[in-house]
Parts: sequence; C-alpha cells; structure tokens
Amino acid sequence: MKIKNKTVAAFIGRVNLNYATLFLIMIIIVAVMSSRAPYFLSAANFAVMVNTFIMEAIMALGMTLVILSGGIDLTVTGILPFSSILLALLMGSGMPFMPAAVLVVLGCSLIGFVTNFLRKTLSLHPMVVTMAIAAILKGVNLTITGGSAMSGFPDSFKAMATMTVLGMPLSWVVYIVLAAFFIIMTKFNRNFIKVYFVGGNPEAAKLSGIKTERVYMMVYMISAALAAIAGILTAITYSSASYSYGTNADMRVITTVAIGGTSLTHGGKGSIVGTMLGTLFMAVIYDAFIMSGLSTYYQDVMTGVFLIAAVLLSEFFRYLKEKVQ
Amino acid sequence: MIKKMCVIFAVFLAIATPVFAGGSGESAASSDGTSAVKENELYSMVVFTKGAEYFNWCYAGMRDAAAILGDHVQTELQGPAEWDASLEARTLEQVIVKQPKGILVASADETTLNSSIGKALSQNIAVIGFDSDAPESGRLSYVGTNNYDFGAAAAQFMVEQIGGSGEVAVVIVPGNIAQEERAAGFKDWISENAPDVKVVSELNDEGDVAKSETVCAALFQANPNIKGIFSTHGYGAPGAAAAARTLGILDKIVIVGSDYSSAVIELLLSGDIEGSVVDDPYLIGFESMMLAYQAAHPTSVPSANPPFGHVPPIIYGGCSVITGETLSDPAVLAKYQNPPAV
Repeated sequence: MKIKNKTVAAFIGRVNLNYATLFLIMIIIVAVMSSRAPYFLSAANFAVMVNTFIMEAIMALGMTLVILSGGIDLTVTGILPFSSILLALLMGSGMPFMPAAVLVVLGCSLIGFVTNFLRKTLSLHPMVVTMAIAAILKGVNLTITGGSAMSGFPDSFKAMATMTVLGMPLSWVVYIVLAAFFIIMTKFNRNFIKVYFVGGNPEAAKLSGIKTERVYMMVYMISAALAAIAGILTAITYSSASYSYGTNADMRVITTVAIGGTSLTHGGKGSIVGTMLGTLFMAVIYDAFIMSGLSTYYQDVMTGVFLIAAVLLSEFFRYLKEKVQ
Repeated sequence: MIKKMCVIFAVFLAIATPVFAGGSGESAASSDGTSAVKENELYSMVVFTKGAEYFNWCYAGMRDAAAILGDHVQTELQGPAEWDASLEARTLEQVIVKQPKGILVASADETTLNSSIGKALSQNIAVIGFDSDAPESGRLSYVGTNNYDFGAAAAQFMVEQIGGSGEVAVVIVPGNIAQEERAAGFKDWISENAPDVKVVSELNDEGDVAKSETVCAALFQANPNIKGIFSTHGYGAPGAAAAARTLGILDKIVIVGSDYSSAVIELLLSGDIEGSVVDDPYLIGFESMMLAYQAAHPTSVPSANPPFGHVPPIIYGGCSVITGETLSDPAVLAKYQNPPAV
C-alpha cells in the first residue's frame, strides 16, 4: 500500500504520530475529567498527580536506556526498597545524609554492574537475570527489615520531605535535572548515542567497532542508580523505609516507557522525551481513576489495554513512516 | 493495515471514554428527600490490597452506615491492589485533593502514611483508622480489634485442639502492627498458660497464599513434630492446609486461621482447618463511617480533637473462633458464604 495523498504523507513524515496520539488521548481524558471531577484541574491535584508518579518517572529514564539497548530491567522493583533500607541503616549508624546517599547510589550501581556481568557471562536473557536479582533483593530486603517499616530518621532528614527548591518539591527538581541531563546526553554524547546503535543492530554495532558490552554495562548501572535515587526520595517523602515500597514498579515503569514510544520489540527506537510524555500520560490515567471515584480494578485493565495499544500504535507508526519514506 | 489500526484505536477510545465518564462515588441507597437540603458529602475508604474480601466486608458496612445517614452521604473505596505502603500513601494524597469530609484508613504499615494522614487532618478532613492502625499519625479514632486478645483467643483454641502439649508455629507478615500484636498475644498466652506447648517457628509468607503453601511445606518437612500452625492473617491458613494436604499430614496438623473468606469457610466446612479467629469487618466499617461522620459534624460537646467532633480514641469490636460446627447453622453459614459485592 502506498500513501498517495501528498499532504497526508508530508504530515506523517514531519509529525511524531506517537506523541500526537498521546496528546490527543490526554486531551480527551482531561476534558472528560474536568467536567466530571471539580478538583481535577486544580493546582493541588496537579501537584499530587506529579508526586504520584515521580518515582516511576525517575526510574523510567534509566529503563528507557536499557530498552533502547535491547534489554529489560526488572531489578528496579527490588532496588527501590533496598536503597531506602540501606539509607536507613547507614543513617541509623550515624552517617550524615549526603555521604550515605552517595554510598547507596554507588552500591546500587554495583548491583547493575553485577546484573550485566551475570547476563554476559551466563549468556542469559536480561529478563531472566534481572528477575533473579529482583527476587534476591526482595529476600534481602525482608531479611534486613524483618518485614517491618524502618523509621526514626533524624529531624533534618524529615524536613527534606517538605523542602522546596524554586517553589518545587525536591523530587521534582531531581527529576528535571536528570531528565535534562539524559535528553542532552542521548542527543550529543557519543557513549549514549551508541545505545541506539547497539539496540538497533548489535552485530553491526560490534562490527563497526563499538564495544557493545561497555554500553550494556553503562545502561544497567544507570538504571540501578536511578532506581536507588527513587528509593532515597521515597524514604525522604515518607520518612520511612520498607520492603513493600516499589511493589510491581517494574511493570509500571516498563509500561510508561512503552507508551512513550520506545519500542519493546525493536531496540534502538525511542527517546527520553517520549518517556517523559508517557510518564505524564500514566500520571494522568492513575489520577483520573482516583478523581473519578472509579474502581481501581479497572486501572490494571486500562494499563494493560494502553500497553497493547502503545505497542500496536508504535508498530503502526513505524510502518507508516516507512511507507512515506 | 490502516483499517485494522483504525478499528483498534476506535475500540480503545470506546473503552476509555465511558470509563472515565463514569460515576464519582457511590451515593447511599436511601432516598428520604434529605438530599434536597443537605450538601453532598464524600467519605473515602483507603485500604491496601484492595480486592481482599475482608476489606469488601468493611466497605459494605461503610456503605450501609452511609445509607442510614442519608443519601447526601457518598462513599468510595480506594487503594492499591498491592501491599505497598508507598502506593497507599500516594492514593491517600490523591483522595485528599477531592476534599472528602472524612477518610477511613487501614494502614499498610505503622509509619508510611503518617504525613499524609497529618495533611488530611490539617485540611479539616476527619481521619478514622480501622483494622490496621497508624498510632502515631494523629488519626482521630481507631476502630478494630484488640489484636493481642485476638492472638490469645487463637492460642487458647490451639492448645485445646492439640491436647495441651507439642510444638506449634506462627505465620505472619512482619511490619503489620495488627499481625504483630496477634502473634504477640498468641505467644504470650501460650508461655503463660501452656508450659508444654512451644512456639518453635515464625514464618513470613508475605501475605500470599501460594508463598504460605511453600513456607509451610518446608516447615512441616523440617519439623516433623509440628502439631499446629496459626496464621495471623487470612491467607496463611489456606496455604498451610494446601501444604499439609500435599504432604498427606492434614489429620496430624491443627490449622487455626484468622478472619474469613470463601476459601477459609470451605476449608472449615471440609475440616481441613480446625478454626479461624474472626472479628467483624462489616461492623468495623460501619462504626468507622459513623465515627467519621460524627467527627466531621462537631456538636456542642467538647472534643479532644477540635475542630472535629468528639469521638473516642479507640473502639474494639471483639473476636470469636468459628469452626465447622459453628457453620452447621444455615443462618450463620449463609452470612459467611455471601460476601458483599464491591
């Protein structure tokens, strides 16, 4: 089939159809919700909406890189609570916040390193390795905490929960800085651009001299570090650490990335900006369910529907672009 | 290809639009005309593991209480399906934006929801804790069960069933204050009243029936002398029964559960579980709703928590042990076999 209408062909060629579709659906939901729920368009709801999905948003940045490289990372669901627990342990032993947080991020990056090392040396699919690491971390988290929530952080730590920078909560600022960093890096930094090549065609990338294993190591370590940052911010938000934090977060994060247009089936296709849009979309959906008073049972149904729709639309738009080109 | 994708997209929109255009909270069933003069009031119930039969009973009680109070009283049930305290806290924050008159909270753990509950109270939203308490949160009142006595009742029943001597184990999800209190009550009663009974193991099944089966099977094989097992929550006993059935030792193990669900009732009727200690989640939900309404409508009676109305700090509802024999009464069985639809 050929696209004969030149105007349509030009439109398809110039507009990112993934983003356009997401915007269209979001506009529909916002329009429906604003007429149904009086508080939906309030500033307070916007703040809560962002807060609600900010941890997934941070982890989605790292997950985007992993999926772009052709992999998947399920360890985030274990690393998020692990980092909050590790932070509680370090601070409980008297260590100040900053060195404790740095140690936590470095320690969790090491988990990313080990994950990739196992993937490489055992020649296992990333899903198997990361699932195993997540299971191990879940056990470790339960063993350390005995299943209890850890609290008793110092007052200076608790004060960070209400701290604002330029009028924004700390977690927003961290996200904005990280997102800006990864947008710039994926556009201009050679090491990050290699992620696209490796994900798109690992064999060709290897033949062209790219050290593919270094790229894999980088993305898994970054993903683990970002999950650790999300864990630290969760501990700050709730002044607690618990093994229960981040349950099923891996699925929410992967769904976010996929909805943002990063291809789960073809590595090397997607972007950080798309993931940011996917994050906003998911935040709107989750908030809409609560604000509309609808049963959250449907939330999982809708998440699944969106995931399938995102993958199908992504494939469809790829097909359209190919036709136009 | 284009036609197919258009069809998929149309189906997707057809599903999504009516879903979000749906209702916002359930209005109470009665229609005595009071809605014409009273402003609508929303009361939200926030739970963890939404979908659990126990919380459905609690919500059924809340709905019925709301119906008595008038059709201006609307209710909703919110919360994550997962046992994730941070997800529950996020849900609570979203509920607060809707400015309900009152919120009923069962806390996934003792501390994580504290700041969100404090935020609700600071916005004059009455917060009543139920089932699982967050005692340091500042909630106005707690409606539930004296879980220490709950555990003691389980211990007394267990000791009777195993003949006053032997080794027993406890299934628990640590970190949940209700379950920890039940375990403490169980162990203390045994140490004070049954010197020949020993609690030899505490198992964490993460509140999951499949995990419970796994850990119980491992326990039964590692400790052939185990005579009884007490689960501090509703999923442990079915898991323990499945493990004992697989190992062919059902007649040698006394299983005492907590709470009731369709699975527990079936196992009590078949005799696979000897007993289950139960409170009354329907009444817990009912009383919590009444207290939330009371707190949201202060009277001239001085209150311990102004500007909210006067409410008691704690209401305990009591507990009892149900067995297969208890369920032989058709009226009793009918109640347990017909869980409310939510």
